[in-house]
Amino acid sequence: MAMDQRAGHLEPGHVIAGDAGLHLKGGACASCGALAFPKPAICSGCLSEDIADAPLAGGGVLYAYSVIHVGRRPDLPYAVGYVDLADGVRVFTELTRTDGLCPDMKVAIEISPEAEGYRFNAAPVEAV
Amino acid sequence: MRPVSIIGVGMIPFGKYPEKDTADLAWPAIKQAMEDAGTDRDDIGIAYCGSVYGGMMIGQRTLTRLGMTGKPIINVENACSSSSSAFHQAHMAVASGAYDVALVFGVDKLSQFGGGTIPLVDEDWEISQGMLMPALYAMRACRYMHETGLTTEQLAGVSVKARAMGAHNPDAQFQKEISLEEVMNARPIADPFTLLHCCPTGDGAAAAVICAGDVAHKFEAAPIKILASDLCTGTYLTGYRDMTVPEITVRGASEAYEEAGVGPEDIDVAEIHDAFTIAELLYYEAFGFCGRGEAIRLLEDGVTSIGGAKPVNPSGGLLSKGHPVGATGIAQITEITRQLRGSCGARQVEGARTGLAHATGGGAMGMDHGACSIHILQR
Repeated sequence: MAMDQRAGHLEPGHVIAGDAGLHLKGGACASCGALAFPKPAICSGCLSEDIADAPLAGGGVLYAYSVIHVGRRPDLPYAVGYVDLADGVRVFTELTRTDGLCPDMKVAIEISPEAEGYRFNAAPVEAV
Repeated sequence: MRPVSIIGVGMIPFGKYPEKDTADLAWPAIKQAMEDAGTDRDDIGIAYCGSVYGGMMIGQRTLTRLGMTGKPIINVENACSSSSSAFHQAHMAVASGAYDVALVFGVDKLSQFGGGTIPLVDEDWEISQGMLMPALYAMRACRYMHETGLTTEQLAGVSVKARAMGAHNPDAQFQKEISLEEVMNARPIADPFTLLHCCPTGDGAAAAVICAGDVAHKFEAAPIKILASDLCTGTYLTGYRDMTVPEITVRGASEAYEEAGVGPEDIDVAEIHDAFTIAELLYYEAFGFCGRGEAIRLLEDGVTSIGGAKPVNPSGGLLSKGHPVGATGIAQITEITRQLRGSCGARQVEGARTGLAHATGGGAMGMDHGACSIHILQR
């Protein structure tokens, strides 16, 4: 499948159940505490291989976005952006809508089951 | 380390050559550079080739056509910085004293993909999630516009200027001026970019011959000195990152200026990596040509046009000259060399003595860019 047709799909290994439902599964270094997503096999900060599963924050702010009009997806246009999660991790994600977007707006990460994994994106939680 | 000079350059006009093999794009540029340098094949001690999509042994496949075999040939892949990285390696080989004369060339044939955005490596998680190079630059534009108040119309002005420059370059893929309205009304790609905010895909090749400074006069009456050859990699971060300040280029510029013993005020002409309109503005600031948020003033006041105090991308840049990725670094060095020689005709920057070439690229998660190579040249 073309890479831009897989956008928004998460393999099961990238999701973890937490207090507030499903979360992106990051890795927290047991040695230095560094947090990263996706969960790495080795900490790029201190080289420890002792990395614990870490449910990432369910929301944050939209750092920047773009509405994409090209590619092989059937549902053009769609929007992507970088979300700065409340715990310090930045995640590249699709957004739930293409209008009414603005940098620094609050967004929530939404994860829901779909075939062979999960669907995920970020939804604005306030009007511009 | 000893001084090194450029004694010959060459390139083919960038464009689309779907009927040619990649190696057949490259050899004419090499032959031109060798003739320009006045070097025989036996003079070349080592050769470097930069290419992203040329495939295994593209350097060897090219140089067999010119009967230049037996000596070391090294292939370098570093995304958009492939041939500038190759140039950096060639510079080290000569500066170290290991070789007196080196050939370096870059080539790519993007027409093999039939158009669209360039293929990336989807082992990278963001790329597997649909990251495209236009989307990456578009997000930089989004954030910069949010923070500085730059408008889409102002951003479009970068392309108008690029095409006005490229109109005077017979090696450019686009040699026709365009209007602001044409840029604004072109089909949308990744907001705020329309098609004309994006460099074209195309094919091309460029080559240079470099030589130890103390023997350069044997080949060339007026060699161009390489004052700085810098190569660096983006700093990897898992957290927040300021996309409006390209840290890899800021750091590379600082290293290059220090190595050359010059500052931004000494640069008479520059070729910088304008893959998308926003890049040109970010790099004015990264190179210290102006302060934060002031880039649009340089553009709109004509400072960076021919005749201005700091002409940038007189070749037309990536936006107009084209961007066959692996060829770009040496094509920039070719333009700066010709500018410093005073041989650029209608697009000549009068009296240019010191110039700069900057190629950066490679989408890699957690980095501003994968690679950045900066060269400062002087006549």
